[in-house]
Amino acid sequence: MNSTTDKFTPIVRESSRALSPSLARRLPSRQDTFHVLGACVIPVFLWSLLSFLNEVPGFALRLSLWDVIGMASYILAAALVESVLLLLPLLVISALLPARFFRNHFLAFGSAIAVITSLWIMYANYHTLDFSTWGVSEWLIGLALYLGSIAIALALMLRWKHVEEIVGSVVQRVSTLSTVYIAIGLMGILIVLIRNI
Amino acid sequence: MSRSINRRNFLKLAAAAPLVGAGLRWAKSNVENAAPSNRPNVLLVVFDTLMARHMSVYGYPRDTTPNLNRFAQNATVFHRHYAGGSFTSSGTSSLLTSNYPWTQRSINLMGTVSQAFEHKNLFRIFGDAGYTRVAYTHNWMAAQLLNQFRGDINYWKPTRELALSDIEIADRFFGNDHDVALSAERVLTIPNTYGTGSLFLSPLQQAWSSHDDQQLQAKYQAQFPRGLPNSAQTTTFIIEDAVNWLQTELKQVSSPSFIYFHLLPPHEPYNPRKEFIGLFDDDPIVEPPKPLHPLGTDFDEIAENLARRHYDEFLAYADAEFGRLYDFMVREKMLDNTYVVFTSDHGQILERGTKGHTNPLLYETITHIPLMICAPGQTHRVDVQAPTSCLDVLPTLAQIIGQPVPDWTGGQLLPTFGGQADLDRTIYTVDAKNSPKQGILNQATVAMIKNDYKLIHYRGYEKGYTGTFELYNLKQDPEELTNLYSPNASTGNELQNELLAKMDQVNKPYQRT
Repeated sequence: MNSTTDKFTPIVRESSRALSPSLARRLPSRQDTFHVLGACVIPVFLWSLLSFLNEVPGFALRLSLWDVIGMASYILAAALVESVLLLLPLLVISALLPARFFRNHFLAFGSAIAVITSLWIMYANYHTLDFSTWGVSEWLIGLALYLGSIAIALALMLRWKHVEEIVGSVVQRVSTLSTVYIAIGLMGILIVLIRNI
Repeated sequence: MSRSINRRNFLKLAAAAPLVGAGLRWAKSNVENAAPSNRPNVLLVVFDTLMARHMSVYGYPRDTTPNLNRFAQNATVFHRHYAGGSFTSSGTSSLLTSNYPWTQRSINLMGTVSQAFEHKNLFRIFGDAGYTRVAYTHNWMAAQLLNQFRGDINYWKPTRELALSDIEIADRFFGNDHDVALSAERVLTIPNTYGTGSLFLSPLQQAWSSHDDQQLQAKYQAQFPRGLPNSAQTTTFIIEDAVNWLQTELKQVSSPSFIYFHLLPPHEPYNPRKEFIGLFDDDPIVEPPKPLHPLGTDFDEIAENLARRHYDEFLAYADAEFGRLYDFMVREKMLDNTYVVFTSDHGQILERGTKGHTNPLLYETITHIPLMICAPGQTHRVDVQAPTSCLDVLPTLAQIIGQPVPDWTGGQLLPTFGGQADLDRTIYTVDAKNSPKQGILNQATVAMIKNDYKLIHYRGYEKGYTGTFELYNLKQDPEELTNLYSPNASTGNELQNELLAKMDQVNKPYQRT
């Protein structure tokens, strides 16, 4: 070990200890994170299950029951991954913005953003919009509509505390359903692993 | 010198033993490979969705297949050859297992054969004879079947390795559960009534593949102005890459070998190379007007004529690439010890207001497919007019390579290859994609060929099309314009009884007692 490394190591060690609690402080509480994950899970799972149920009669003609369960497992596992991917940017925003703007309202704000984003994507999906073919004007209009709807929702919650409380309350109440979805998503992952051993 | 081996020397010998064994095995295999095999190689080339009646080989007025014409001059050409099914899963499975879809049960879209047939296939026949078995396909439905038979294939070249782009995930990560994973992937990524099953990942994948696709299209715009050939939103390719690979493979594969080469063209989209676009614009063909079929789609006559012309252009492109392959084999003198079998899995409907091959119609354009076999050293053309089935390919190839014909095959030896021309033979093409895999065929179309007649039976469809029959005399009415069926006419009655008896027989195992 050379002398430069000798000097550097204690600094790195001290910095790491300093960063970890700092990062943890910038993230929302576990309970709020779980509830917002629930808000992500519900629209994503509902959409995937709707598609699966629409298609399964055709597949059931040729797949066994175990294979149909397997097919559902892949779809539910993908839905769980999507839900987590929807949650991650919200955590990043929470870590970056000052607490009073986002983290202190994470339950309501995060849930609202998750649901509004999901609704817009459902609209785009249903109308098979191809974003890759969009020009500048389409992007500007699309972003304006999307960000505008989020801004309105957040503004309403900031203006009237009662609205924020209602949103938070609703999210907490549906946590049982979202817990069930998360559980079957995890079961889906397990079944996918079993089927591929 | 001491006669006993000390511990150190013993350990040295023990460590060296595996190396010696491996060396002996290597030497043995090289000796075996070096020894010339007196068994012929077999190359089975399948062009997807190829209608025999659109090939100039079979008398089509447009010169769509000049290279296959050349090939045919040194081959046995079967003029009344029929597919077992009307789309890839049922047609290809019939070819590879020598059994009709109602037996091996690959009856649905994306269907696979029943477990009983997983090892009853062409690859197993060749494997039992010590052949090296190689397979490649552009078509993802055919790939599902190859995946099922992978235990009997030495080397299955992945589709994407000869493709310009491929977005399928199932085979990348879930190869052990490919069929179900692919089914789930289709739900997640292919738009259905409500959109794709995946809310976020699918649009991301679509954006990524669209960007990728646009770059590819731009790169190949000059060569393929209409766009690149592709396989239903998953794979983009050019035929040249597959043919180039096959040429290399033919030179280096261990003999004797069986190579299954299933190209997607002339399956749509009809995107040929530039020099084939507009090839037949000055060569209009007036097809006889045909009535719209109640079970068909809404496809107008102008669109039909355009689609036929584009189909012919695409076929001409595929034919040119076959010609390149054929010329290569001639130059390398590979035809001296190789059987080349050329066929298709099914045809296409571009008439009666209908386009495609996933509809319930089983007219000649979709059931009548090409079959040509060039035997080693064959220098003259032989024409066979007797009706034959794709089920006949497996037993014929088994006989050719000196293997016993399995008792589970549903076909016969082809005429001129040990079989007899049998005009009284009954041949079927089956479409039952909406019936349960392990259940009675409650919705199906069955076409039965016997002598000059073709009886088509519809069962379980809407618009009153259930228990319906159509009868055509193909010799007098090759365009199937005049329905001769009458329940009182003796010919129709006999054929109807035979067909219904067959339906009862195939449904019997699934009927509840």
